[in-house]
Amino acid sequence: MSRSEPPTTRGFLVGLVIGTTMIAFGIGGLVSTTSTASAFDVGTWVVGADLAHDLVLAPIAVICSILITRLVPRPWRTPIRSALIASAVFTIIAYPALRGFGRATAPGNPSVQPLDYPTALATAIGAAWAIAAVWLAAIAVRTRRSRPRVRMANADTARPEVEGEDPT
Amino acid sequence: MSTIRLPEATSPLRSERVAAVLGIALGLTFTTCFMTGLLSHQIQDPPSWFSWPTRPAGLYRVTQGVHVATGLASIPLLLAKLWSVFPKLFVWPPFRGWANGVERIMLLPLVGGAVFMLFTGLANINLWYPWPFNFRRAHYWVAWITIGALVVHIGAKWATTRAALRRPPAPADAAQRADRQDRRQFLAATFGISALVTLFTVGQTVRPLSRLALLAPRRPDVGPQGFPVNRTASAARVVDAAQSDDYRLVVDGNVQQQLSLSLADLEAMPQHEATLPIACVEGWSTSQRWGGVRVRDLLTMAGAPHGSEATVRSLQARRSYRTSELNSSQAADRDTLLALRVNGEPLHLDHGFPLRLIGPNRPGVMQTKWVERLEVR
Repeated sequence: MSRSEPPTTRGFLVGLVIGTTMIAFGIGGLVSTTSTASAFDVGTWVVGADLAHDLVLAPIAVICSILITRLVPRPWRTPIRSALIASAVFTIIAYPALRGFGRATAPGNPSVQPLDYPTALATAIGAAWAIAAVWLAAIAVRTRRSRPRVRMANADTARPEVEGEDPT
Repeated sequence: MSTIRLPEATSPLRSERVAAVLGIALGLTFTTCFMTGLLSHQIQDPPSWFSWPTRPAGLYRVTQGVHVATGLASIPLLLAKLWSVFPKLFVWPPFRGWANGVERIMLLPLVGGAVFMLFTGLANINLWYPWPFNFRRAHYWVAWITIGALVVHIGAKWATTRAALRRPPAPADAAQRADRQDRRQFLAATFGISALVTLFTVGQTVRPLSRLALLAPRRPDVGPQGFPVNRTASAARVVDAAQSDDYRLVVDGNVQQQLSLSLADLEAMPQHEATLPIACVEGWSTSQRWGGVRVRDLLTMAGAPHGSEATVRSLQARRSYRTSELNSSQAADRDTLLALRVNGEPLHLDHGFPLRLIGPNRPGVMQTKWVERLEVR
């Protein structure tokens, strides 16, 4: 990461004044419209949301990222990584429906979470992997096509210079 | 400045530029959610200076549909953004000067608030309440805290972001070129996943895409009489009262003549039809053809003064949302009905039989069901 200068610009001060005013308004509103105990609960959940990300979600993502780097050959990485991220995101979004939490809140209301969510989620994840498979196939085709040119010359200079940014 | 050497700290996918692009995207989506959320909040609890129009009839359907769709689309953007800056959490020393200290402390309400907003929103559209507080108040006030922290963050990162978005130096070699391609593909995939999330959920409000709404908690065409219900008659404990022969609609308050109308009286009045959406705050919506009595006809019949406002009361005891307000333009609108029918059939009990309010450009929670009283002011 590059080293960035300490942000004591005018923009920082303007943002600081407006932003802290909004934060104070939010905290004031929370405390004045709910009980102190309730405001404390909300605060606990906000801090808990931060910790849940930093201590659970992010480490899992880092471990998955390392595994992908170790196990998947470089040209395939992006499609496979993308499909894995999509699978995780879809699962997070479908999680309350998968567990039937809404149906439990609203018994006798079949219009809440009406689908067979394991099948629905599998279909959505399947679509993401189908896109990844097409992507992988395209990479394979491109690699095969470019191979003869690579053999003719040095592998680096044979790459198509689409943007003409090569400093040499 | 040094970082704990996480194995991934040097991942080629992480760069100031990736963080800047995702930051801008999130700045836009969170601002959109904040504005549409504030609007929805004002509509439900209008301050004296705020008057929500009755036209266009489907405006709230759009603003609230955008609110929920944008929140859902933000989930992959936020996760990617947090991933792209994660090693910075471990920067040592933690503060370089007071400004840097303030900026870093503000990351707690920013990250905690952003995750909180998306999680509580996702849970709420699923009618899942795993917390001990009132959803609406918490979601509203934490929005101010989160966006306040976002404003501080934007002020602090403005220069960094601008620098990061300037044309980057050309890659020096094949390895750098490959890294740059990886970063571009990572960004493209993140936005692509965000688009897929929208595709798989927005059908809860965009009817032509309803069959693709695989991850949405609602289908706009599933429910009694072909559309969804939020609170059933049995959950609202009105099953007996709504079907009682003693049912009367009372019109009282600031009127010359108090009315008490049976179902037969209401059916004998001039009937009108309007095609209007039910647009739920939880982001689903459905348009139906309603038939019934105009509120303004009832006000005229009771001799209410021109420009009257009214409180619409439901048979429901307790619970929030058992009443809703009609401002003067809503009460006078030709399409504001006390509906007896939907698509030509009597209302299903869960849709508010015998009588429900339906008006243009109103949140679903304000389309009061099982109406028993109109209090005129």
